[in-house]
Amino acid sequence: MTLSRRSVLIVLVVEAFVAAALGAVVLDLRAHRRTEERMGVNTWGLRGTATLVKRAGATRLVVLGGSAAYGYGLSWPNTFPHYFERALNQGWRRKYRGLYTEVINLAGMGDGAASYTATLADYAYLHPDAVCVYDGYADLGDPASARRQSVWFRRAGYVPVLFGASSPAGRAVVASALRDGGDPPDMDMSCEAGSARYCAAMAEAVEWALARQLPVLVVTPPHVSRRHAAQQQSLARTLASRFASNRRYSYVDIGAHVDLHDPTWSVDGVYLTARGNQWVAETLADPMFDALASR
Amino acid sequence: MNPAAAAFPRPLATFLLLTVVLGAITAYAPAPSFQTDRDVYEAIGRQHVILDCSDLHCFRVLVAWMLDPFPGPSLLKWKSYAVLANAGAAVALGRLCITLGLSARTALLATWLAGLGSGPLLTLFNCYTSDPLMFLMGPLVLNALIVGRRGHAGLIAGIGVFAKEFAAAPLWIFCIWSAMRRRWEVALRSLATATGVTLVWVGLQLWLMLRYNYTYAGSASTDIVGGGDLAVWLGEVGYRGAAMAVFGEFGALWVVMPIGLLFAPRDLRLLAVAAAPAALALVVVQQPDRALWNFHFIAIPLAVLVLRQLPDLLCGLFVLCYALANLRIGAQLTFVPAARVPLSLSLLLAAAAVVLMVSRRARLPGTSVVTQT
Repeated sequence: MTLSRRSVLIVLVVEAFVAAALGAVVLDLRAHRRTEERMGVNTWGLRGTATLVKRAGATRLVVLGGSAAYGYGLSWPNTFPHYFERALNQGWRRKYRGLYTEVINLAGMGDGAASYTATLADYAYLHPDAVCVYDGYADLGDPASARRQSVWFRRAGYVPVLFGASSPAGRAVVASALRDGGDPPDMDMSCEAGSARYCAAMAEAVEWALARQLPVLVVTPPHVSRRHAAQQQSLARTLASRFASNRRYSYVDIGAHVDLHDPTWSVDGVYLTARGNQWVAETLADPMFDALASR
Repeated sequence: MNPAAAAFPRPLATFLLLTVVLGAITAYAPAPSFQTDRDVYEAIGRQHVILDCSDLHCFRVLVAWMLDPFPGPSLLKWKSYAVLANAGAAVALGRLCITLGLSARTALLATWLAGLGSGPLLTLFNCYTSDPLMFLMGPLVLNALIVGRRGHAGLIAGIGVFAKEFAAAPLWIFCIWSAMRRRWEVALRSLATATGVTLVWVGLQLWLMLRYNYTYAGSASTDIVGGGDLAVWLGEVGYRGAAMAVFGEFGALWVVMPIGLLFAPRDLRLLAVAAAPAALALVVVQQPDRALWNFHFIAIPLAVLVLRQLPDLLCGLFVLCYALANLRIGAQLTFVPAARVPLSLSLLLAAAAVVLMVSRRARLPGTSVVTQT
């Protein structure tokens, strides 16, 4: 069978479109390579260079969170999860188990608690062994993570970065309700009132992990306000009432231990510096070892 | 196809004889003393895909996928594959020579030169590679294109790119060749085929990268601007070592190929020119001495145009010397005489063929290649 000349031209035009599409993917991959170890994400929408296969005998820990865990304004080696992996593999630690622990950062800029369960489900293919929820300061109930807004991610798990498709700098937010003096000024931030949806979402994420026999460590990050502190205290009580009997659940509050107004720890009063992240990672190492021991 | 061309004489018998000869060589070939790609190819065979693979060979899945289902030891399967593919490549080159308008005698000479070349013999020594299949792809695909079986060529090459990217090269060579001969309709159709097969290859690379986290892991081959694997290789072996390695690839054929190019009919000369971009590209991205043999289906027809000036006995002697040298250079057989003696003799015979060719000023008759659309 010989194609007509017109058909051959049509084939060439189609091939040109396919070539352009594949070329765009190649360029996007190169863009990822350039940025993934700095401010950006890899092709799966994660910070750093994750792998599908765990190291032999290794434990895989995923960190959920928003811009605080993502490491807003910092390059990948200066983020909390990066320091956390280092801390969890320091052989001199008393609780070190002699096994490698790899830490995968599932946090996303602007991600709120309502997105955590979907994030865990999206990345279930990474087969985590434990979950650390290092919550941020995002809106109380925004259900869609930044990457889930990409049709490519929803369909294929791929996060494009070309043409500003996923800007890591664009969505660092502190929910206005968490700021002291926010509107309304006398808002009740407890899980029974203003933070009901937030607390329910956090509980849902914890429940998702516990249902799969995964140890969960929930961390309250440095307080950005009295309102935030009140919310987190209420969250701790709510989660304890539901999960305290489960040996795989644990909770750590470091909120009051870091002064975000000290430029050593934070330059903008919200997000930690590299040194601050390192301190958090080292502080959380022992509680994480305890959580992992519950497997 | 050239209507005046003869049929390739007894292709099956030649194939079987080559299989026996190459089988004997590979049986005596020593095990490589260096790290080969055996582990990665065996893993591909067992697992089909290797998650997070950061080795260039992980992208070359076809041969491992094909061989793994067969019973028997891995080494036996891979050596058998190398023998059969190389024997097939040699016969395919013979058929291509016939298609190009050369005589049956010349085609037979080309067949044995292709079968006993250093490239194929090296793959009998180190058989964990996609190269034998690529040696087969070149003449097979080009022949199909010349006789107008573009669909077959596209299909074969489209499958071949799952083994190595080179499988697409004959399509591009033919496309450029057709354009140089102002056969625009053929060139246009070949362009569509070549582009389609290349897109299959690009799609495979991206699919493995995105779905299974494959990477080239900073392979020198991908650093085209930095000189590719060529720069690394030159740094390792130096210019003298590089020159010796490249010379060893074709040996005495280097003497006759330029003369063959000079005296070849226009179509054949254009074919050689059309292959130059692909050859240059492959030399940069792959270890050059090994890359060059992929173009044996262009080089050997040029060489035999000159060698055929020799009488049968001397042609046979040339093949013998050439093969003996390659048993050391390619197959690494240590019990055969050092390559120096047979290589020198084959160089002398090649020089004699050149003298005969020049003295006869033998412009080659009847070698205009007709391409069907």
